[in-house]
Parts: sequence; C-alpha cells; structure tokens
Amino acid sequence: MNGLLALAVHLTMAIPGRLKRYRNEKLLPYRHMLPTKENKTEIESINAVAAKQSPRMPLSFAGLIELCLLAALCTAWPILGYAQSNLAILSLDELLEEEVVSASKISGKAINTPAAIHIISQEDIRRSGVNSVPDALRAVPGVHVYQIDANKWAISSRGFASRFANKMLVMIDGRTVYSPLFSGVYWDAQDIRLEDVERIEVIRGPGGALWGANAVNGVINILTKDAADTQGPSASVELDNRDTAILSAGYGGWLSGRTAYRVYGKFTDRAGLPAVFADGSFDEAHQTRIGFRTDSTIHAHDKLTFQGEFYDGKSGQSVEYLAPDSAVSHIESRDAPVSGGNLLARWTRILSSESEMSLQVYLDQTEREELLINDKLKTADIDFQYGFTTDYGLHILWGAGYRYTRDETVARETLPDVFSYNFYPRIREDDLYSGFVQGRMPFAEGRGELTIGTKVEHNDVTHFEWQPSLRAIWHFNDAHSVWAAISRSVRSPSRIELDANLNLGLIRLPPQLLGLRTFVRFSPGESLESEVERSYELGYRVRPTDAFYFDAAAFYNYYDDLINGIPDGDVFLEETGDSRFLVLPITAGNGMNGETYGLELSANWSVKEWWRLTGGFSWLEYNALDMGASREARQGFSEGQNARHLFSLVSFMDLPNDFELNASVYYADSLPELGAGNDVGVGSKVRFDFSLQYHPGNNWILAIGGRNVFRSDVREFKDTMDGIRASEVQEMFYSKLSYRF
Amino acid sequence: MQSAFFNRAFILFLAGCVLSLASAACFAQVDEDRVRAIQSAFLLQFSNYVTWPEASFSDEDAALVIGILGRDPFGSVLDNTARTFTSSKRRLEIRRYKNLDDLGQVHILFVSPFLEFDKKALAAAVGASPVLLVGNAPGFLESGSVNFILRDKKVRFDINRSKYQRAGLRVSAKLLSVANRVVE
Repeated sequence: MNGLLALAVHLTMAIPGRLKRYRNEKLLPYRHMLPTKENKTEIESINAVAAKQSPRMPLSFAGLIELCLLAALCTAWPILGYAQSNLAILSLDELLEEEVVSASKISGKAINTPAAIHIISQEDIRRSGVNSVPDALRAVPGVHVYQIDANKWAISSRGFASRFANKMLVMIDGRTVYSPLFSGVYWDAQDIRLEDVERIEVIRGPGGALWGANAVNGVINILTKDAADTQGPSASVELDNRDTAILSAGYGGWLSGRTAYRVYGKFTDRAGLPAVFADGSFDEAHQTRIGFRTDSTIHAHDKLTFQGEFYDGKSGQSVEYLAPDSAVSHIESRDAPVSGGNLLARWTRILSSESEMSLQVYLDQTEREELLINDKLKTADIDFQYGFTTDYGLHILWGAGYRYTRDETVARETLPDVFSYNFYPRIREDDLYSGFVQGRMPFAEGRGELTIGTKVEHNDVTHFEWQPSLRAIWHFNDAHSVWAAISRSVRSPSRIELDANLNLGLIRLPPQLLGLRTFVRFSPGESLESEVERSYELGYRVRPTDAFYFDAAAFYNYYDDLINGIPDGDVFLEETGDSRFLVLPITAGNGMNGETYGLELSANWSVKEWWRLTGGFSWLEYNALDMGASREARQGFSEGQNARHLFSLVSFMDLPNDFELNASVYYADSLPELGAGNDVGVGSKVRFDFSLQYHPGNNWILAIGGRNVFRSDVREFKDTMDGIRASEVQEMFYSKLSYRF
Repeated sequence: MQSAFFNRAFILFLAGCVLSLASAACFAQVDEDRVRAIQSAFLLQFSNYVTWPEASFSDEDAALVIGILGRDPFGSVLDNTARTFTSSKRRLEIRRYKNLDDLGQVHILFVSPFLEFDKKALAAAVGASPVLLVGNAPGFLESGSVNFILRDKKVRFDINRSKYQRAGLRVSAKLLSVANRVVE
C-alpha cells in the first residue's frame, strides 16, 4: 500500500524533472518579426524570456512504462471494503432517522470534491426561466458567458473566452461536444431540451487527469435525467415579444417493468438580434430536434442506457470583410445549415459491493455549412472504466478509451477567392488513445482525502500527452474544509492551427500601408506542440449552519507553448487580376507564454425556508509574456477577451398561493480594448433577469419573465477574428406554459 | 450611464425582495425526492424483515420481486438504490405493472398513490396470495399491510397485522417494533 503511494508520488515528482532534462535550446521563431522602433526592446525582452522558457520534449518512454506498471499494480490490488454514501447501505434503524427536509441545497458532492465545482440543478434551471444552456451557465460563479449574436456565445472560465474558447471541455451525457476543427463548442448545436436535464456540473480549473486534453480551464458536464424519471406526457410552449418560439413535447413510459423510455422533440425559433454596425438582423436561428433515451435495469446490478438525438436547423450569421480592391467593407449573410446526430450506449455493472465498471460507446456526426467553410465531423468513441476500493479504503478508478474522428472541410465559394478558408488536407482522420488511473485515499479517519491520478493520451499530432494531478482535501470539522491541487493539463492543436490557410484580420489592421490594403495571411504551423498549463489551486469552504454555504477558490495558472500567430517573413506585394495588396504572412506556432491568476467566491444562503439567495464574485488577471504578434492577433487566436470582474446575485423565492419569484442580476466588467482599427470596446454590463411562475396544481406551470430587462450595454462581446459580427443583446419578455404529468 | 442602470436595477430588485418578504407566508418544505428515496430504501429493507412461504419462489435462486402498480412515483431512484443494495438474501427484481390485469408473480407490491384503484378489485386480484401490499395513501391499511406516512419530518409506516397474516406472510418482531402503529 505504502509502496504503491510512494511509487505514485515518485512518478509525479520525477516526470517534470525528466522533462526539464530534455529541454533543448531551440529558440522561438521571433526572428521573423519586423523590427520597428516601438517593438525593438519588446523583441529583445521576449527573446530573453524565450531562451528561458524553451519548448519541452514530450513524455519519455521510461515514464510511460512506469505508468503502465502502476496501472497493472492497481488492477491486481485486493478488492475489499467498499463504502458508498447512499441509502442502500443504511440499516433499518438508520433509515428511520433520515429526515425528509433538506435545509441546504448544496449536494455532498459539491462539499467533498477537491476542485472548484458548482452544480446547477434542474430546479435552478426551471426556476430561473432560462431557455438555453449558455444562459443557465451565467449563474455559475467564475464562468464568463458572453452572447455574441442570437445563436453564438463565448463561454469560458479563468480566461481565454472567445467564440472558440478552446480550453473548456463540454460534455453531454459523457459525449464530448468540443469541436476539434476550431477547438471550441458550437453552442447553437447544443440546443437540448432543458426540461430533461438532471443537472449541470461545472468544474473550473483543470480536469485533464480524468477528462483528457482540452479540459484545461474547466469542464462543463451536462447530465440528462434517467428515463424512469420522465414518465408520462410533458409539453411546453414559450413565446417572447421578439417572436422567439420554443415548443417542446415528450412522452415517457415503461417498455417493460425494467426498461423505461422517453421520446421527445423540440423546436426552437430564436428571433434575430439587431446587428451592431448595420441595419437589420442576420442571426435568426431555428432548429428541430428529436431524441430518445431508454434505461434498463437487468439482473438488478446491470444498467443499460441507450440514447440518441438528431437535429437540423439553420443558424444565421453575417461576416464582414474588406475586398482587396475596395475601401468599403462588405457584409455577407447566410442562414448556415447546422445538423447532426448521435447515438450512445452505456453499460454499467456493479460487480460487487466494492467494485463497479462501465463501458460506453457513442457515434456522433455534426455538419455545418457556414459562410466561410463547410465542416463535417464524424466521431466514434469507446470508453471503459473500472473502479474499486481496497480494504484500506483506497479507491482506484482506471479507464481506457479510443476515439476516432474524421473531419472533412470544404471551402465555400461565395466569397472572393482570397478569403477562402482552405484546409489541407481537406479530410483529416485522427486516432486518440487514452488511459487514466486515479487513486483516492482517505486518511485521518476520513477527515482528509488525497487524490492522485493522471491521464495519458496518444494523438496523431503531438503523440504522447501526460496530464497528472494531485489533489487533497481536509475537513477541519463538519463546517470548514480546505482543498488544494496541482495539475498539468494540455490543449492539443486544433485543425485550424494545423491545416488552415486563410486570409483575415482585414478590418482592424492599419487600413493602408503604402496606399495599399494589407491582409494577414495565416498558414498552419509545422511541428506544433500542445499548449501546456500548470495550475495551482487553493480552495476553502465553510458551512457554519445548514442554511449558509460559502466557497472560495484561488488559482494561479502558468501557460507554456500557447499557440498564436507568429509573423513569418516580410510583408510582400501580391497581385491578383487588377488588384494589388500587401500580405503579412503569419504562421501558427507555440510562441506565447502567459499566466492567469484570480479568485472566485460564491455563497448560497437559505434566508428562510421560502427564500434562497446565491451569489458569486470573481476576479481574473491575465499577463501574456509575448509580443510576437499584435495584441489583436493574440486576442483573436489565443488570449480571448475576458472581463476582470464578474458579479452575480440570484434570488429564488416561494410566494404564497403557489407562486414563485426568481430574479437575478449579473455584472461583468468591460472587455479590454484592442486599440486598433475600428474597435470600440465593450463596456461593462449589468443584466437583470426575472421569472414569475405559477403552479396551479401539480402538473402545470405558467411563467412570465424578462431577460436583460434594463439593458445597459447592448453588446456583450466583440466581433470575432473570423469576421463574425456581434449583435446587440436586447431585452425580452416572455411567457411560458409547461405541463408535466 | 451604466451605474445608473445598475442602481435602478438593484433598487428595483431590493424593492421586489422587500415586497415579497412582506407578503410571503412561511411554510416548511418537504423534499419530495428525499421522501421517495427513503421509501425506496424501506421497500428494499422489507425484503429482509418479511418471510414469504417457500412456495412463492420457484426455486432457490428465484428472485424476490418488488412490483410497482400504477404510475411509478420512484423513477430511477428505486432501481439505483436496488443496484447497490447488497444486504438482501435473494436477488431482487423490480417490475412495473400498469394495472391489476398485468399483475404477475410478485412479493412486495407497492400500490401507487396516483392509482385510483377499486379496493374490491385489488383484493380479488391479490386474494390470499403471499404478497406484501405497501401503499402511501390515507386509508390504505384497509386494503394493504403497510402504509407509509410522514411524522416529524421522517418517513414512518403503519402495519396491518391481519392483512399480512391472511397473505400467509410472517413479519419480524423488529419491523413491528419500529412501525409507527400496528393495527389488527
């Protein structure tokens, strides 16, 4: 036992040292940068930093062999003494003492996890009256949610927010919805039926040790209800003053005494929002979605889940660009067809009172025909997990997985040739192999718990990736606990960084140089490495009474090898037909380092039995240690745009006569100004939402409410680097009628 | 400009809170999910405190069947609790029956509070067969053996001795001793 821990500790400690030894002295390619009066000293200082922070070699083979040994040791470990905190293990006498009134809405999971975790329950979703997952996430402390237009959002935590926030992993029922094309989440395609959501677990900070690459700054885990919990018919209609209509219907039942099912459909028609710099709106979106889920219990200890979903719709967008031969910006709009589907099967088996295993397989396909590019992604994924407890209380969880992705892109021909997004190769197939092991060891009679684990992945581009984490939690008593964590996470390069050739950035670069238009020509990097984050976290939780809960988390993250655009050679003149223009060549490279640090506070207070308040505050600082590209290019590619301060206050109130009043206020600081071109910045914003709900009887709910009712700043986010234009986020008032048997 | 909006929003928010405070009445909230979870655990526990005649099992390895009659109030919680419930002597199986006509071999039958059943029909369907009838409705003891109630924020149950005796079941003294009330 001690030997195992010692080996694990040895491994974790030894690996970074080993990595250091293999560092070579290769200089980052800053030499291509055009020296000017302004940036000369910057280049010198950056090169000095680069010399210190030279790139690392991937994990050595010896380390891997050691890890395999560790995994082998774990499986051979004796399986005894499993303890579970559910009602099934209580004796008759203990059951009689269980109270049915839950004073605190905080789950045990939130209290005992050594990570910055926040759980949104179905009740929170229903009561707050939100109609999209992004809006539900606004209430999570430390999560930055910016609506770009009616169907696009930028969502991230701890920095790097953009439409393609590439360091947040998002999963729906164990299926990843992170797109490897741009590395981010197409939120418009995740228009799931919120009534069927069981809960949303949000973990801020690294989750790579369990979830693998790209879970660098957070994991959003959306879990839908067991089919047995959605019995009977259900339906809802929501309409608002801007002509949004959301209709949904579902039906659940028992196929046999052991298999529950539900089928459902949802139709969303989101009204367009006015464009910021033009008349009219281009972002109306509609989507039809159907799905099913079955849950079967077989032979008491086996559970089998099948689920699937198919959607089809259109998401409006408009793209602004400058033509080579014209000083006037052009706007192209398109209702981009968006469709997809997925099928998932999961088998979990309780092998004994000490061990459990699960096997999950899914297939997923998404297709988008955006203005600039068509993308078709197919994913097949298989994942196995096995968990058991030894008689010393050590809980081991290990797993192995394989994922196949096939991504096919086609450049659209609607735009002038010079603006096309060309991906070479046009079709990329990737294999991702992964394995993880995690040990959880309680000590001091359960007052403390140490979690140590790692994930090892092998992908076709950067090969082996190693993501260890060490976490510990200590409960001083029932009320106070602290936790701390050290983790290493990676983000693997996305297709746009590996394969894309494109011209962009026209709008905001200095418009004229030698009287000619200038383009940024972006080309893929050669031998790109993954971005690496080392994260240090410290958390404190206190629950002085059952009615009050306070949670604080502080973090410091250091990023190496952030991928950015690096100037690659001199500006040159290009002529196509009659037009002449200058091209500034930029190549993707691991040219940037950075650090973020901050603080996240949240509180949950049951003021009265009928009134609950939750609040959050977060502070975020970002320092980029790189001047290799313009600040604009950094923000577009890698840095994102982040408010320094966020504040939220949500009130849930039960009123007499079956009424509920729920209200929320959100505040976000201004986004940093780019200071170039026609950037106008985004000011701080206050958003006020409310929902008044009436429950006549058990089955019906009538809700009226408003979102962003005192709109203070109509823009939440800037235009994105790919030219997608932001819209004004308007106030809206809605009514919703829902029925559940 | 922005702070003005913020102030306005905040003042309105506070005003709303105060108004609601003034008008709202206090009422204790029972967590229905919690009630169902505890009742599920009790249903499973009953299998250890009740003795069925040997004839009610086809063989040594036959499962003990817990049935739900009518609309299932438990959902996944009963199945999930059963999956980790390891203290039973026999394998447990959970079945759902829409109505009395579907009823099959069953040892514990929970009669859904949502089911508007005919007492006579239930008596006729179950008859004197060895089934522990459990319910959760006022007056259920007129038809069944065990009825869940809430007392002091805890789940309790009443037991009707004559009903389970007629079904040919034996209930342990332990279960009888923790019952809220035992009627004859």
